[in-house]
Amino acid sequence: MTPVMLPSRTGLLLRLGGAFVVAAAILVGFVMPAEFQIDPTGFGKLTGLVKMAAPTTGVPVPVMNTTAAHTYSIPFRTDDIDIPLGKDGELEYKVRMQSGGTLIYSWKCPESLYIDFHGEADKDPGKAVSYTVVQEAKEGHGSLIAPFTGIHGWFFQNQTDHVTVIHLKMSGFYELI
Amino acid sequence: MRFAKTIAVGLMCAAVPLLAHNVAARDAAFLKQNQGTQIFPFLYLGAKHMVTGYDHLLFLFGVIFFLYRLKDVAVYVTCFAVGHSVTLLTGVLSGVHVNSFLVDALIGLSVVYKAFDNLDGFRTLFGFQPNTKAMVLGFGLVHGFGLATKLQELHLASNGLVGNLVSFNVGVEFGQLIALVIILFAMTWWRGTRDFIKHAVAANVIVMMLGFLLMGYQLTGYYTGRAA
Repeated sequence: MTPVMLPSRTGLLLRLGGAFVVAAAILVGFVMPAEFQIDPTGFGKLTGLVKMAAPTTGVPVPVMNTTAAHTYSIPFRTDDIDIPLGKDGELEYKVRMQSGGTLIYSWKCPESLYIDFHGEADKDPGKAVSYTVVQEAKEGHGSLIAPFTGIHGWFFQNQTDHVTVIHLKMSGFYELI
Repeated sequence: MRFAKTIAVGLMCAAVPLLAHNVAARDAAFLKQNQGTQIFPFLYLGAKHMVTGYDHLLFLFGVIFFLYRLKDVAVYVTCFAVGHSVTLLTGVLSGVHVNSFLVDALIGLSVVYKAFDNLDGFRTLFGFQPNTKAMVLGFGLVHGFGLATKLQELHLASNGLVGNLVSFNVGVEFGQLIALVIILFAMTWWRGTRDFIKHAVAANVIVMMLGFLLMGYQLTGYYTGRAA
């Protein structure tokens, strides 16, 4: 088949074992600490590799003054919105907010949805930053303090083949777009 | 020519940590916001996924390692392409969900298998040789499930799904062709060097090791239940 000197039975077993042992060593010593924060040998801590897997907040925390009370230049508003969604349909619903602006919301839908709550900074157009992703839910309640000035909102995807409507209530410091 | 081996192996090692083997977040955001048939974006995504997919590339590298004639290369690569197309298309269309960690671990196993096979391990240890074409086809099926899981993670809309899926599949084949041309050029040059015979065994042992590493990486992901 080949002009190569193939290893004997013993040579083959040694190489197979060697490959396995080296792979296991790299896995335990480097990959597990750096990627999964699992550090059975302590080597990850020694080398600082475990820090690489430390959970990141993902979204920058807005820079705000440290007082408990916040003031805004625009009055708060409240909106009740019905969002129709076709079978297997999907839709983006977003509002515009200044950095540090607050929004509280509740939404409900009779059908199961996939949700990606995210935002896009004005200075970084086209780059979506996810706040939370939910694989399947029929309701969601929460709040957001906008980490940057830009548009913020939900990507809703209908997981069923029924036409449906999402009922969304919002209050806070934002503008409809 | 120690240099040749160093380059070939170096390239593969460098690829491992650098390339995130998922459809990148930015691409995913684009796809989410665009509905209907998108032939060229999906064509591109398929090709990108293959060219940057080190697990697929390692397997391909193993498959053509000892294939000297272009005709053999064509036959084996066709086996692989048929295998992964079947499971990619049927996997996505039928909505079958396979755990992506386990599939990727199996893909790692396919890399180990092929390198072991290149070392003639089956004849040496067990005294028989499994049909190589059938195995490449079989592991092609596994790789296709891997491709399918990556597409399913994008939550594609059913609107225009078939067109997008076929575009992605064609893109995968384009990407494979591009990768294949590069690997073949490098292999031809390497084979022409005097020490290829010496390095061939070492190279397959290293590929086997990388396959084991991929398996361990994916199995760790499976047991911890989170992506790295």
